[in-house]
Amino acid sequence: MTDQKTVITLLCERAADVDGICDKAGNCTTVDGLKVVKLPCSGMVQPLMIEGAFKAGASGVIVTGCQIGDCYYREGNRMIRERLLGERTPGLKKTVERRRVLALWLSRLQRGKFEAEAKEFVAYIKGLEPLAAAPAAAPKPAPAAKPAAPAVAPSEDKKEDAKAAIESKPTAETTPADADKAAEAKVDAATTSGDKPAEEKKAEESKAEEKKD
Amino acid sequence: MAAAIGLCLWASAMMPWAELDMNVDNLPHTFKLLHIEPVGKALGEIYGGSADKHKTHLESQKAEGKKGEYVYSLAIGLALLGAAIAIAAIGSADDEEKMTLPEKK
Amino acid sequence: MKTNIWTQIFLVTEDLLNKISTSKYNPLYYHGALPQFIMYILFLSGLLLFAYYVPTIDNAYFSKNLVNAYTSVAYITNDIPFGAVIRAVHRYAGDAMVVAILIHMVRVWFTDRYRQYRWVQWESGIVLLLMVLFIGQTGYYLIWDERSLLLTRMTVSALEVVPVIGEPLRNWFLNGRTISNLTLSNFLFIHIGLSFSLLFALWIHYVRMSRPVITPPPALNYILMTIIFAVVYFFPITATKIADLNSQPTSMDIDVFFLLPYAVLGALGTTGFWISMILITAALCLIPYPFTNKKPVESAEVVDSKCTGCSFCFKDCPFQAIEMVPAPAGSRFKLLATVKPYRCSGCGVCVGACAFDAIDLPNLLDSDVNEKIKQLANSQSA
Ligand code: HEM
Ligand code: SF4
Ligand code: SF4
Repeated sequence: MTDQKTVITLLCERAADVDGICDKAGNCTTVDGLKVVKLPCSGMVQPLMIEGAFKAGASGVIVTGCQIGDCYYREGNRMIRERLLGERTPGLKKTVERRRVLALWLSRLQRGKFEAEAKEFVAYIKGLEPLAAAPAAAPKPAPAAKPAAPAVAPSEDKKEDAKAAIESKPTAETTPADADKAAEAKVDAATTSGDKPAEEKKAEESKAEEKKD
Repeated sequence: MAAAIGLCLWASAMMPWAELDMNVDNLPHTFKLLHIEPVGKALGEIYGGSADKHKTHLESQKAEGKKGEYVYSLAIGLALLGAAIAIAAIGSADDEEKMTLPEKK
Repeated sequence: MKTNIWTQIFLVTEDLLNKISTSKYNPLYYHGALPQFIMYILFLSGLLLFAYYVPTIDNAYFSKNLVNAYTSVAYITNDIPFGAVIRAVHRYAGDAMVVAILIHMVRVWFTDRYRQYRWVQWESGIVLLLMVLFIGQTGYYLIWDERSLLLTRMTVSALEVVPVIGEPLRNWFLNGRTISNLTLSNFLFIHIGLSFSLLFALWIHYVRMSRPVITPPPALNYILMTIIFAVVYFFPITATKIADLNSQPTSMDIDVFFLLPYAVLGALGTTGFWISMILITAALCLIPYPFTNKKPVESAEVVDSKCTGCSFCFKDCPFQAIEMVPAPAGSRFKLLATVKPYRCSGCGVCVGACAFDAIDLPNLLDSDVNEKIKQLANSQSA
């Protein structure tokens, strides 16, 4: 499963119009391995959904909303934008590889740009080493079964997350092209050091889960 | 960009000249106190050529009051335009249609 | 998502503007903020005019020369430094306000941002529009030239025909039975009083929106001011004749932004005027209520047992639709989120804000979304 490169797009139904290039089930017909899930607004995207996609075996996620400033629901795209940047709670877990997430803010008429960017991103993801830490069989946390968690612990945790993200912002300038080279270097590193990073990741993840419960 | 800043500066310097009612022959006392009469004269040299055009336009429009004040209005408008273009040129650099996420430390 | 021709027009213009100015400076993305900014220009320039304006029609100060509204305006224009320019800025900013409001209105209408959970914004917007138009008209009375006199008389004729309250209305308007020294102080009161009441109406306009965008970026403000200043230079305000109560002016220049109702009044007579005004206003108010094809919004629902009262959804909801209430007795938490269904847009921003899966859109459960993501992530690529 890990060799299969799926990129999930979480798409606002008012943003770039992909109806012409997608089948009903959500498979993009012109970009190989691109799947589309439509939402009423990009503001509905939960960081948990992105994490869930990786857990289920996706190797990349694209979040697509309308042009910043033009959200039909006023602020949805700003909200998810800030969440992705770690400026607003809840944000993405530390364990999520940031370079595997891309956000596009495109108006309804910009299907061409969406396609081009998505193609580039899929190709970029294909060049990355497989996500070892995410076997498709990994049990997804069943939302319904999870008991309510005390508010304090996770939210504090998240605030720290956000802080860290803000501090790390200056380094955000890396474009996929730059990152590409970095990734190549990383592949080498990964092959030599075995799957240690993956283990680390798992440990961290389970810690996070513990904290929540 | 350079043109926008140039427009802003050119129009800003035009404002005091317009405020003198486009006439630098009798500079007010402040100029003497500050010893900047040459500046006043220089303004007259730079902008003086257009004074007649402004006057004919404003008179044909039956503008009331001092004509220089309307020219001042035009100058401040142009200065703001130059500033706006320059600001927007700088500011739109961080506009984004495509956003990559900062790496976590 | 279907788009009709009107939304298409906006999409294309928007795209074009995004290409020219980038979305950060797209004026269409500040459609509500621009009239708000113009309002500040009007307040400031109005304050400067107010300092020298004398609201009477004959000699209030028993000086040798006539000092009244008209001569004080002439004094501002000819003797106060930049008086003429400030007058013109005030007038043209008023016109710009109407243009900006109309763009705002057409945009929210054509892009379908005006109905259902947004009806308060629309209806209060109509009130704002009528207020702005009326404020502009009273501005033209204040100059007290021939046009002011004609406008006042026309208004009186229109008010007098209103059944039952016609006479009291006229007496209120003129501050007495006839045009007198007190009339202009009433006009000034209406002009300024209504202007400040705009702030109250705006509060109602904004009450259902979290964080309304009310400040355009400086670059846009500058360009707006450039336009106003340039119009001042190219079309200066010209001198008019003082009002003479013993004569009846018969024609005037019409400011298309504010004085169109008087053109209607002139053309249709008083009854026709009132009927058309009432019909237009009613039509504007009814725009959000098409009588067919009204798909109700399915509002978000909180799963009480999962909500931890963290308030994230409450902070992020763009329509102020979530209220945090004390949690029921026996709960481990202090607060509980509740959705006000009549305010909810069904946007799902709260779903994105909740880290505990405690809030859901009934027509698109996030568990379903997660299921779909899982299934797509696993499926063979086509
Ligand atoms: C003094 C005049 C007005 C001002 C200053 C004003 C300002 C604003 C502002 C700042 C917003 C918030 C936009 C946002 O943040 O998303 C807004 C929204 C809105 N306005 Fe106005 N407005 C005015 C008049 C009107 C008029 C005349 C109408 C229509 C009849 C109108 C209808 C609306 C509607 C429907 C919304 C909601 C749009 C949305 O939720 O995206 N407004 N207005
Ligand atoms: S975000 Fe979720 S848990 Fe927090 S208050 Fe809202 S519904 Fe409750
Ligand atoms: S769906 Fe949620 S965020 Fe959107 S308006 Fe309704 S309560 Fe607010």
